[in-house]
Amino acid sequence: MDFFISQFISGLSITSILLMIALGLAIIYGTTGVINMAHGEFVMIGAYTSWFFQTQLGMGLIASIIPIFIITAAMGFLIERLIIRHLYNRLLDTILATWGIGVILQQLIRLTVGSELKYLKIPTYMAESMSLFGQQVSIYRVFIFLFAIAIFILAWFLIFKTKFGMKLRAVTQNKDMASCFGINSGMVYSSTFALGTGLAALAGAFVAPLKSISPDMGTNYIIDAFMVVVLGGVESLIGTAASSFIVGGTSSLIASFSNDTLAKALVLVLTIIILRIKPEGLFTRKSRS
Amino acid sequence: MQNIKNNLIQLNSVEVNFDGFKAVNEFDFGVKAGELRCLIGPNGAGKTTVLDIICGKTKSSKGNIIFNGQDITNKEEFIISRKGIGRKFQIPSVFKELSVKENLYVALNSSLGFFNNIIKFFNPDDQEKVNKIAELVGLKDDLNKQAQFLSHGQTQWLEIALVVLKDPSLILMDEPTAGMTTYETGKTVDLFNKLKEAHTLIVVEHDMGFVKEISDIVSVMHEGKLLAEGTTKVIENDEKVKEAYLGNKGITNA
Amino acid sequence: MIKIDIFKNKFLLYGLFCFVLFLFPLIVDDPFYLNKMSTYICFGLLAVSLSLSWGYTGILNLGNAVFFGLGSYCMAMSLKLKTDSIHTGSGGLPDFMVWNNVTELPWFWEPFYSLSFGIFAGIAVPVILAIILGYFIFGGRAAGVYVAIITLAAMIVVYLIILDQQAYTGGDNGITDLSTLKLGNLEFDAYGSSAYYLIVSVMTFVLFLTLVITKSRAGLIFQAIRDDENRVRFLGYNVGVYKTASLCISAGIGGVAGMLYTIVMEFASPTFMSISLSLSVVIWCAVGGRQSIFGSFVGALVITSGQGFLSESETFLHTWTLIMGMVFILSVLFLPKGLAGIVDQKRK
Repeated sequence: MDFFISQFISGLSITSILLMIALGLAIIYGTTGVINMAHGEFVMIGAYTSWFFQTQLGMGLIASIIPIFIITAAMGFLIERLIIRHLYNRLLDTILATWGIGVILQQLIRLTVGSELKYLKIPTYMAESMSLFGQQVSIYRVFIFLFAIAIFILAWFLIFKTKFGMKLRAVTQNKDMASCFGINSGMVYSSTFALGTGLAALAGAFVAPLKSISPDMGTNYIIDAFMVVVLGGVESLIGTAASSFIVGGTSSLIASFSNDTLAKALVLVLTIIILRIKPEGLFTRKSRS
Repeated sequence: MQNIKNNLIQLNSVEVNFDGFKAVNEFDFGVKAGELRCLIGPNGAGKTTVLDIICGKTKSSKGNIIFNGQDITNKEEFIISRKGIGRKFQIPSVFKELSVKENLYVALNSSLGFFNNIIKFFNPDDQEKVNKIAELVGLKDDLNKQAQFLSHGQTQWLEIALVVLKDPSLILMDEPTAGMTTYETGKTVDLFNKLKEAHTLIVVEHDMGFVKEISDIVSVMHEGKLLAEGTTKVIENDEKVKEAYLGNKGITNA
Repeated sequence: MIKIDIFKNKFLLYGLFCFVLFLFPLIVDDPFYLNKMSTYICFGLLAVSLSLSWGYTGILNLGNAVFFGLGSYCMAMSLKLKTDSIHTGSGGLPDFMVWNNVTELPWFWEPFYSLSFGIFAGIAVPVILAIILGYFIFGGRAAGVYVAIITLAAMIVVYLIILDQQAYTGGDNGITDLSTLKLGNLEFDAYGSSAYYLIVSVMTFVLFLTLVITKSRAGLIFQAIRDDENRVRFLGYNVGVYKTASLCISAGIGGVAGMLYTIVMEFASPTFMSISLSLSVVIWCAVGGRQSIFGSFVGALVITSGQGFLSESETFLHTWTLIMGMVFILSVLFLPKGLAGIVDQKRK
């Protein structure tokens, strides 16, 4: 029983990080159809920005959340305006363009900050463990989980309960019609991209103390995040959340019997098989098109 | 009432269900060999969906489709194509980066298996056949032009050529005159009358003048079902059809 | 004077190009540079592999390096079993196996004692993977986006398995310390002109074979599939089979390139099937012109040799990669046909 509880908890931890990363990716892909292959690099940017704030400016993690979001969202906004917006009529090419952007971001970091690994410490007030269902769990991981839930609820609120969200949903369904109704679709697209990349950066900021920070750390996350998004389908945020849980949980379960590397490989294989059977994802309804 | 057994193609109680919305609902439809049947009806009636299920593009959730005595329900597109059904789409689908000549080569090629085609090349004989069909559809001077540079009408003609090259016994046409000039539409009428003899055609159309000129029997669809069927004269005077689609002015020239 | 449009007659163009490359050792006879040039040619062939599946058939294989990597490992396994240092431990096991406390040669290593099998496997294994992938991806009618991501995922799966099973594959370190390739009486020292000539000979064969394939009926059907696969279906072709076939040919070429690469690099490593190599191949094809076999090959050659010049300084190398990233984005935005497209335009 203990074993399952500890596995469950560690699965939740992976899930919450996956959720934050996949959420941004799903919002971008679901709204604009853009496949952001640089999403992992935005996670990396978030980690480096967090490192910069904490080691160079002496700011705490909580204090730097908003600045990190704003800075990265601004970058995302700029990139969308400069590059992505030219490719909406050929969406497959967005894979290539964003991959190129990812390369550029990685190289910029290498040339400015350097390629050596950087480390961040978990904030001292969260560094201990606490007792949960009879298991010792790192407080920091619990915090990440709660934060991921909070972000998810905020995103849901933003999309379904605000004016901006309504515009976003209109543009998702039919960009041209939305424009006819006076909605600035271009602005919505740019803001969506900014929102997605900002979320990725937050994920990076939180993940940073758990592992080392390197220019290529983003590559690890991109493929998992994509699996979550294609598996969950982009029709609903719940789909993304459920999918994160499935991928994260399965990964953790398999890892407990073998190791992380094989777990990752097996999860990928399972996803490929599931997509063969249900190409539209697990949570999408078939529609006429 | 047509004799169902003699029909080249027969749809029985076919249903297409898009997550609760029945685009086609308990649809019975049959066409005899050699006919030119027009399928008309208001937008959203399900006409294109009917063509889609016959050629295999969409799957039907109920009912069956018999073609030439064989059950082709929900078979794969290439298998249905090989049985002798050709499809022309509403938005012309041709190979944009290939030249007109190359487009025709792909359709002309009678051996369809991969291993055959990896060791074969196109030769002067094929060039002859391609020239002939290009002449028929008025593209003789554009053989080396990339398909994306053809005019809209020319693209429609190229697609028709691709379909006809396979000599299918049943040809499905979806709004073939959409976007055509009066002159081009006239040429299409001539072409259809030529095709009528050796092939069976099912044509989805909105241009009523065109329908009147080419069709023997007209089927009217409404909300996924067959509303009425008969010659153009019969249809014009059918009360149900007037209410749903044609109004009181009858089938007038476009 | 007779004007021959060299680009029109591709056979002539390829012939001249291969001839020039054969003459290269007469100009540059430094074994180090010959070796480097051999590696660039291997990358060129890898670009040809992607060009066929992506440029001709429209399959964006983001995991293209997996074929390269598998080919290189097959060659490495055969060459490893021929080394003298194999006589370590009981029964003559590769050194890394001994270090990992393996006591018996795994069954799947046994056939590689035969070099012929190794060469056969270097093509067969990638092709078998392509068949499996083809069944999954094209059988399921996956859209372009999914194809791209699933091929990438497949490569990562293979990469992870090789990393994990380090007792049998050498893991992170790869398979090193290989014997020199010997075919009959000929020895192909990686730093000699013999290896270079071997590479250029195979390259010539592969280039001409690929040219013939693109000119065949199947080659035209591949391009039709790229342009409108549904129309191809409605003309009676089994598109799934054709796409899988295209991927298989691409896999075979990639495997050959990988085998040649191991011969000149003298090791095989998981980095030969990494995300960054796959991405680089995409960049070479995008810049050179993915719809042109020749363009892709030359694109790879030029970019990798350019990179080679800068390998002394890390800063230069990082800057070069940064610039390549920008060039790549620019070509995606403005030059979908790459540089080969510009050449074509000028000819018209």
